[in-house]
Amino acid sequence: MSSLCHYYKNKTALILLFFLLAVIAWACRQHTPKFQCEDSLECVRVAPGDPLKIGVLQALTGDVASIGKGQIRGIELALDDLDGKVAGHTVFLQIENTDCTEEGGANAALKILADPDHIAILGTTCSGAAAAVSKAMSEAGLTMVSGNNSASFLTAVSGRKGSCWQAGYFRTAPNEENAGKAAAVYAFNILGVRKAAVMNDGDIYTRGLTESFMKMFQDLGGNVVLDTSVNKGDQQMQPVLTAVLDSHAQFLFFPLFQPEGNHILLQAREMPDFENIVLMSGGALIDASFLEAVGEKSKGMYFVAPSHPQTPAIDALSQKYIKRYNVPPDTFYYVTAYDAATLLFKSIEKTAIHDHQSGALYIGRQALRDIFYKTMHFKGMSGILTCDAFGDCAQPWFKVLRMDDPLGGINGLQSNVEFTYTSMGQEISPDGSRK
Amino acid sequence: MVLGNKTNTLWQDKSLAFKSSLWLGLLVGFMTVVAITGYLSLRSVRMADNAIAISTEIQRMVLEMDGGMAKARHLHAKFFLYYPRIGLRAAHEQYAQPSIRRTAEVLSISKALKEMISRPEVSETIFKSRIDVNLYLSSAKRFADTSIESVELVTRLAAPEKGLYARLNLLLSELKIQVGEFLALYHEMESFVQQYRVTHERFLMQSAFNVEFKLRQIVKNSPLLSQQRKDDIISIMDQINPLAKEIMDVDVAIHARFNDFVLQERNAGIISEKLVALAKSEVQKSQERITNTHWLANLILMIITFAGLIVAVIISHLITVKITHRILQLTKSAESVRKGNFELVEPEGVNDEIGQLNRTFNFMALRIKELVENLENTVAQRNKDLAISEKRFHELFEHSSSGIAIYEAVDGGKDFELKEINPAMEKIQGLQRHKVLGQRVTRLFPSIVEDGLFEIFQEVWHTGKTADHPVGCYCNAQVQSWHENQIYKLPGGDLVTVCNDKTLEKQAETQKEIMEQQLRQGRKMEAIGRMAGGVAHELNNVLAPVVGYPELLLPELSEESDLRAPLMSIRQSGRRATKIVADLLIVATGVADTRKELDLNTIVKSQLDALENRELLALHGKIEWQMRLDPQLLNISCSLIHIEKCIMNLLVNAIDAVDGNGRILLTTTNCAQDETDLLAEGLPAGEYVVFRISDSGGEISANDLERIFEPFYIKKIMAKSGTGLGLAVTWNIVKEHGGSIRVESGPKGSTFSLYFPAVVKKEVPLAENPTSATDHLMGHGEHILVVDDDTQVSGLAGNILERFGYHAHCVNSGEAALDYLRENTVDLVLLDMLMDPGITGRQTYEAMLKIHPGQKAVVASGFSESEDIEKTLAMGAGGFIKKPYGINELARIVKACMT
Repeated sequence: MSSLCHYYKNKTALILLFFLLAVIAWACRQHTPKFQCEDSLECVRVAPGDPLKIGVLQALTGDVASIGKGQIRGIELALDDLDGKVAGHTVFLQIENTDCTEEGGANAALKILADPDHIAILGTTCSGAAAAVSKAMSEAGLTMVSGNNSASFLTAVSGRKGSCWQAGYFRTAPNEENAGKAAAVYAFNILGVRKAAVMNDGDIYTRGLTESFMKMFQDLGGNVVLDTSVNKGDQQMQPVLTAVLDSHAQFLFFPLFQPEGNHILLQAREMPDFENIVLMSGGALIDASFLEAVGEKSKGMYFVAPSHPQTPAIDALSQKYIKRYNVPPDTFYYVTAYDAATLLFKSIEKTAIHDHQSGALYIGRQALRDIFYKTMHFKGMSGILTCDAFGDCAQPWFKVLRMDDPLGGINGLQSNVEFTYTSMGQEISPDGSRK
Repeated sequence: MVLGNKTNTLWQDKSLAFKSSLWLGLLVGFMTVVAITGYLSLRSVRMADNAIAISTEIQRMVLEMDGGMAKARHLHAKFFLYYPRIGLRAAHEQYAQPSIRRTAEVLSISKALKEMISRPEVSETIFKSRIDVNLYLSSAKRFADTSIESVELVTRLAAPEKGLYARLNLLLSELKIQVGEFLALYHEMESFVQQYRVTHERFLMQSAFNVEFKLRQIVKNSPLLSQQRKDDIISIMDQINPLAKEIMDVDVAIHARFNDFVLQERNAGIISEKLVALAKSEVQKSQERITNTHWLANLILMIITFAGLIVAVIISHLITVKITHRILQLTKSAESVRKGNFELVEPEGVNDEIGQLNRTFNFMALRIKELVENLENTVAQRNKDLAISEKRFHELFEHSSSGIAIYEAVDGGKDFELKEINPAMEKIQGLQRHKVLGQRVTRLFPSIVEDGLFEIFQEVWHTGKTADHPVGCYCNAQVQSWHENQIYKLPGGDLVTVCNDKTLEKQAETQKEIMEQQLRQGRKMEAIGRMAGGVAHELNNVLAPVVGYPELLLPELSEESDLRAPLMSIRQSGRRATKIVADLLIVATGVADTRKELDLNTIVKSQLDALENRELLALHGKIEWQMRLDPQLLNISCSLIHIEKCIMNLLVNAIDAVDGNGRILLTTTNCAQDETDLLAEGLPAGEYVVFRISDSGGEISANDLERIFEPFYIKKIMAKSGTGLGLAVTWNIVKEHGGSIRVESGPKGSTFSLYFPAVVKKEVPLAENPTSATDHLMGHGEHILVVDDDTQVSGLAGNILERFGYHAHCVNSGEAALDYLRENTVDLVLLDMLMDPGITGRQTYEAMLKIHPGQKAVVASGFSESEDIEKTLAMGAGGFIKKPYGINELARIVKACMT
């Protein structure tokens, strides 16, 4: 009996000792303060092992889908070059289709913004979609970087804040306000056109281009005899082309997207009176699919588009593109998408704060924007990137191309530079000399 | 296998308390697991129920939202469909406003849904769906916004009077009025406008613009129209153109809203389907979870119940087999032990408490068994010992030299009745047990009262203190003995008398006194002997020429010589003196002659027949001589001469005692060893030959008896015998022969009894009488060295030896003899033992042997020390001759040693 009592006494003593040690251990535990996010727009917390969530809004349907896919591929290539990880985390790209429309962008943005864990948005393809997305994005405190938007309204027009400007919006594609100017200068000065017609589709991109064209053309002394529009989806272009003819315009600037641009060109080529009217579109139609669709009808047509450098790095990136996707890139815009993604990923890495206690990653939303605004001389594939207060990071350098040999394809077109225009407004002749 | 054995050993070593605690702890653990399982199951079921409730609620809310949104869209669609027909206001009231309200309800539900999803009790999957709810909420909001925008756009487009279409219609109406003859173009334009209103195809409106452009050109160039009219028409068309563009923009915007609705519906539809599916999935999962929980809980409960049963069985087994059975076994063994059957508990090799108890029990049982066996053995041994002891005590009682008697007090201690006596008591008291048992002590021993013993009996009986009764003489007609009594009282009340027979002790004391007397006598005789010896030694040397020279001279004298008579007288006196000296030597030194086994009867008869005794007997003719000789008399080892001397002395003594008229009896007999007489004489037990000579003379007084053997004590007797040494010589001779003399004297006469140790009898012829012839004693010129410190003695010896034909050379010391022998050799040495000064005869002979080993010698001594003579003889000396010696005696021994 005594041995039994002794046994239980020992056991009780052991349990008491265990609890005593547990209490001592609890009392002696190291108190580490919980991470406090001081970002004005709050922080995105990425738990250990969780991926960084990036929304990708691109036009994945319609005739501009090729551009949207090119954007996604550029993003993927940038991620590949970082071995798929940013700040030690994998990256989850939530890809949504904007259908290259404002309402498509708006609804796609809702899908991204519905998840508060999204850090940023890469997109959109179309500036019209970007206008709706950027507004919602900015209100939600996200950062948005586009490698393809070029509408001046999204950032700045004539050095002032664009009507669709939103805080946190950035782009590595150049502001195409200068594209309209380049086209006007070329038409007025090189082609000697004095009457010009412009045609938009209501999208801010096309409207931005036509308005900048009209302003520069009129400033140069030209007369914009027609400022008309088509609706997206329109196929019957004879009436509007008839209006161009009726306006006696010498030059038609129609920076439309496919398929409206295709219809304009093809139906214009069917109209004999258009033989003497110079046709010029924007960069949206510098796409293999367009050339494939219009074929020989594109011969003699002008394009105004950003001037892209040809560097070994870009060639290597192109090879990666081909290697990964087994097709050559349709447009050059995958490069600017690559730059947009790389700039975003690097900025995230600079912004991210690693909480050693929880192992989580904290990314301040305002801090990320601030990093973007402070970006200077970032060596991108497409050139040196320095982001200004309006979100423009690329150097505006446009060129006017003329399709002389449709069989030469995009590369042939890209190499047939008729005119180059910089942001300083200087005209550079095809041989590089300034006028 | 080894691990299993180790585990088994480890388990066996554990205590029952540990095992019980372990199994009970396990049982408690199972109960705890049951409780935990129950708790977790209930918690899981509750959570699942909550999840089902939440999921059901989510599903309900989603469906409600979805239905709300569908209704809102439906109303919104009806608004667009019916506003041209029922009017914008009615359409607003009937469709647009309800649609907005529905949307607001959906927003409210979606907010509630969002809050619900954010509750902590929702599942992780549901919680993640907050993104979809957010999207749904955003979509709903966007629907609301776009719905309102679309209504506004429609209102802007179709509002009566101020709406774009109304204004366009008005302008077209005005234009129609103004164009007049160009009405066809107007209709064409108006037709395109109407088609646009139906189809909303921009190219139609553009076609209208193109017609309008033609109309404008015609109107401008028409000479038929006044300028005012032209201006009015141009003005109207200038208003129509932007209005139409605005209409197209509004239409584009409305179209965009429609697209927006489609996208929203698509999003919301997907989300609602997803949420509903998720809710259903959650419900299903929860139901499955409940089912699984139920199944798992049942399984765990079954397992634990089964395990619990096993544990219970084990505990039962532990209690039954490990405790109860073993305790019963232990009890059974204890019962066996109680019954005396030391059945051990089967050793288990288990170290728990019962195992230890078993071992302790076994140890205890073995110990008890050992103790019982030891006890039995001890009892048996004790019984045996007791029997032995009883036997011993019985034997002690029976064989005790002390007489023991047990008495029982009767009449209140006034008398005592004999209950038991031992044989010793029978012997001591001269009683017979069977006759005296039961008799009273006063009747049995009447004298007991007188000698005070009875008083001691009563005192001991009353006080219980042991008391002694001193030694006393108990004499009666049958017995005369000395007793010593010790009386003590037994615890039972009986009295015990231990009676020691002190008779022998008394006799021993008497004997001791006799022996002490004899010792004193012996010492006195020894002292007298030493004195006599000294005198005899000196006298021997003096008497040697006195005896020797007459013998040498008488043969030389003629028969007629006058010197013959004096020489014979001298010789006679010398011989008497020699006898006296010889007797003195016997008294002083004892018998130093060789002993032979002889028949005492023959010696007695021979002695009586001797010439000397015949003459003596004849001289006392009135004396009656009787002789009783035992024909079976044993032989004795004795010196014949000395025995003859004893007989002669006693005959002379007896003759003197009867004074010539009386009776003298000579007897010989054998004496048994245990005869009391022998013991009284201080002789050892054995066979003795007794020679007695009794006379009928007067009684010898006690004082004389005490000193009768002293030399020269009784003058009268000594005067008769002539020497006064007869009895002293006799006493010494008998003592020298290991015997004893006993003198008994009374009024009727005296008896001298001589005791000699007997030997086996054999026929021994008496010694030959010496012949007178001396021829065979003659030498042949052998050289003899005579060594004696007395020149007269040595001269006499030299003369005798020369007479017998030897060449004698005399020296007077041992040293001179050795000097002579270093230069000469002799055939024999006649060596005196005591020489003064110088070395003794023994030392001289030792030195001689070193010079001439094997040197022959004859030892001569008047006062021989037996030790020196014996040692010298042992060294090789051929014979011994006592001084003074006769010539023939010397010649005989020299001749004997020569040969």
